[in-house]
Amino acid sequence: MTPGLLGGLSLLAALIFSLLGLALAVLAQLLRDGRYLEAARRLSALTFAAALLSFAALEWAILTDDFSVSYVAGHSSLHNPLWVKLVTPWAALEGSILLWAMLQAAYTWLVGLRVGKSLDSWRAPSALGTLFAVQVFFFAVMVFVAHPFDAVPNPPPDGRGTNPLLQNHWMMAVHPVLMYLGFVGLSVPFAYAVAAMVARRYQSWIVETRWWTLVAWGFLTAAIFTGKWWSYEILGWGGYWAWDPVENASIIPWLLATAFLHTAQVQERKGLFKGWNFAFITLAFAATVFGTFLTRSGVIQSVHAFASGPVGAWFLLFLLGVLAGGLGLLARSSAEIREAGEVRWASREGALLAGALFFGTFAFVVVLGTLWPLLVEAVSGAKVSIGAPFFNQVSAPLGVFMLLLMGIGPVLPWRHTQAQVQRNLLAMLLALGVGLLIGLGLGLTLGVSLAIGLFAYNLTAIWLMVAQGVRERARSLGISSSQALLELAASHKRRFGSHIVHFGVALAALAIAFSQTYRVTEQKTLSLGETWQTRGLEVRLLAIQAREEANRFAVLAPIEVRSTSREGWGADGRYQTRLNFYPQMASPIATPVVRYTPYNDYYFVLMQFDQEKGQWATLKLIVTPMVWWLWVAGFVIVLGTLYILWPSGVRVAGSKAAPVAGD
Amino acid sequence: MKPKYLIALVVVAGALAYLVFGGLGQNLVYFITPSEYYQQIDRYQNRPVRLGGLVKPGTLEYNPQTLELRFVVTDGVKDVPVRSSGATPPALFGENRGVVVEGRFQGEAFVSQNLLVKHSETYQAPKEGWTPEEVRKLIEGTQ
Repeated sequence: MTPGLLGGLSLLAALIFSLLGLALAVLAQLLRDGRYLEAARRLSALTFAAALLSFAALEWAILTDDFSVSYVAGHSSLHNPLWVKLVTPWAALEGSILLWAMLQAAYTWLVGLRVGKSLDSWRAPSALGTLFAVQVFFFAVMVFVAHPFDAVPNPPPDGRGTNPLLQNHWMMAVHPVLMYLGFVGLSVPFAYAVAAMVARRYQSWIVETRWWTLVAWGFLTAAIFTGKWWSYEILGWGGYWAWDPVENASIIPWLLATAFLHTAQVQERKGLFKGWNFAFITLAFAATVFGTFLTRSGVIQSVHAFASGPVGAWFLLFLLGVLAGGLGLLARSSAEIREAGEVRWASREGALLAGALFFGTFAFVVVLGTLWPLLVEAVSGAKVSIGAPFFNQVSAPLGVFMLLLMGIGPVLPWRHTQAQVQRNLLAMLLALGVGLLIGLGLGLTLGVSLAIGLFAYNLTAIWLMVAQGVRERARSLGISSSQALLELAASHKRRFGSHIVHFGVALAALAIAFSQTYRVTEQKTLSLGETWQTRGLEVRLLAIQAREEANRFAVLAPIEVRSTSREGWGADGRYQTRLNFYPQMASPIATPVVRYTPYNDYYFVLMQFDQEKGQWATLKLIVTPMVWWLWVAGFVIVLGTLYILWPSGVRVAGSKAAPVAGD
Repeated sequence: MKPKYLIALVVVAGALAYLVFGGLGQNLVYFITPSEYYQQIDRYQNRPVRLGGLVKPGTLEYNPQTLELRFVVTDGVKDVPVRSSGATPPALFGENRGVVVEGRFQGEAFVSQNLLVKHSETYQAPKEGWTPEEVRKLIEGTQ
């Protein structure tokens, strides 16, 4: 058995199992027979096994350099280091769809395990059926239009190699997988929403769906931050976010899932916003498909775009199917959904809805900006693009509003007395004003000063809420404050986790404001041994060297950096700036070297070198304040999410007893 | 809904629409080839434009002291001289390679603030007598 044959067969098996699973789920739904449901559940495990086998076959083919397999011939090479070979499956179109489908099968299997527990027999058939339908799509795309295991009649001696931009950094091993885990993870909440609407049980789905959404959201958040860091580390322009269509494709579902996470809380507690929740989660999942369509159809030009091909049309059809299905069901349900009360804007639920609407609006604006070039081209025939300035211009005011709401929301009452709320709001606004004035007093720009004020405002909000809870508990139980804090943090994990996440978001906003406003770029050509005094640094060019590496050729320009004043704090050391030349690419990749410090990041790029005598090199230095804190903020947000999701002893015992209480 | 909420909603929506549609209009960057530029020179003066084409052989010049990079972008029919200092490593440029430069036309020359080099996996040079549309396809296709 060759890897190509094994992969192709297991792929076909996965498609057939998914089709059977879909058919059985439909039968279980129509006939209300538990045996069909059980069979569908078992098929979800079989599909996952087949998908895993197919994926393993692809790894096998790549690791053994089997160039008779089309994907390996097209996207791998004998000379790739082992780690590059291991991650090559998701370096191009067909393999990335295989990874996607395999993760989809894994999620379906995990949902199958919930059948009979939290997923009751009313909703299980339609939830599983939805997931099987999604799966059928992905496996069918591979089998019919993007087959990774097509046989190459005359296998070449070596493959065409992996896209150099991808193999230039180890983040390739991490970021795409996280992104797919997040994207695919959103199919589960969608399936739960469909199931709730099909079963006409509009309340009981929300608790577990919120959990699944949070899982996917955590992965997406981690993926977005690692993606930012990757682009910072590799693209050599000193930035981390360019509003590229592919970046937009990742932020749109994230925004919509964030909106859902907020309104879902209100439904869970008060039975409100059922329609919003169905809409947000349907749109969030549709946005993942939309993103995939954008990046794989070639309709929009982007630095990350995969080669264009027939898959675009398939994804477009699938997107329309998801939207029609989800919104069609919602239209039917909306007549039946009874809201349990009215919304007051000046309340917790009002603030949560307002926040969610901002997230939704933001998502809409990003979609509009991303698609605008297409509209303009359709109307006038002109090829245009919408630059980053547009998105920055729009996202700044939206961001300010969201940061304001983020502070107010949790402070507004479900239970506090009115006087306390007003005192809290006053304290927060005071912090906002003081922060703003300090910023302006230090001569910072209005935007950055506002970011400082908003950070102080949100920090105050979190502090007030935690302190009040701790004080009340310590007083009523007669325990010390630190013990009360620990007990509260353990028993109110969702609340404390969300404080941690909100703190991370406020910190990220601060880091973005500083780094976007005060980034400075300097360039100079240095002769060998020459010293360059700039930004409190002394930069000396040591040498220009060439080096042959396994899969590439590198030109290195080592430099020595010493700080000469406080401004250059932390930049001392030797740096290895380099240009990497890959055989399959016409131009080299300028890989920056970065010194990370909590105060400034120092970012060196080798721009050009003397190709004749090796006597000079042009260097670029980018000094960016506070970027470091953006990575810390990403870490904090993921940590907060994990804190909420981490199973506690109490919660596990509770959920074991809970399934009957579901409906 | 109470009238005061309705007013607030209208104000917010209006501000947002102004921001979005105003912003879209201002930040529209045309993507043209040298031939298209010469068809409508006035239209593209002093506004942000992306100019796509190939670096014409024998025109690439880098001055290490002033850090200025000069080259001619061609689509096989028309040529535009480009001046650039700065954003993208000059080492990434090569003759006959696809390039998209972002900047403004100032008089006869194009002054670029940003160079987007195409990281083409499969390299192909344009052939004699290609139409601008074919050159554009080549440039876009190799992205």
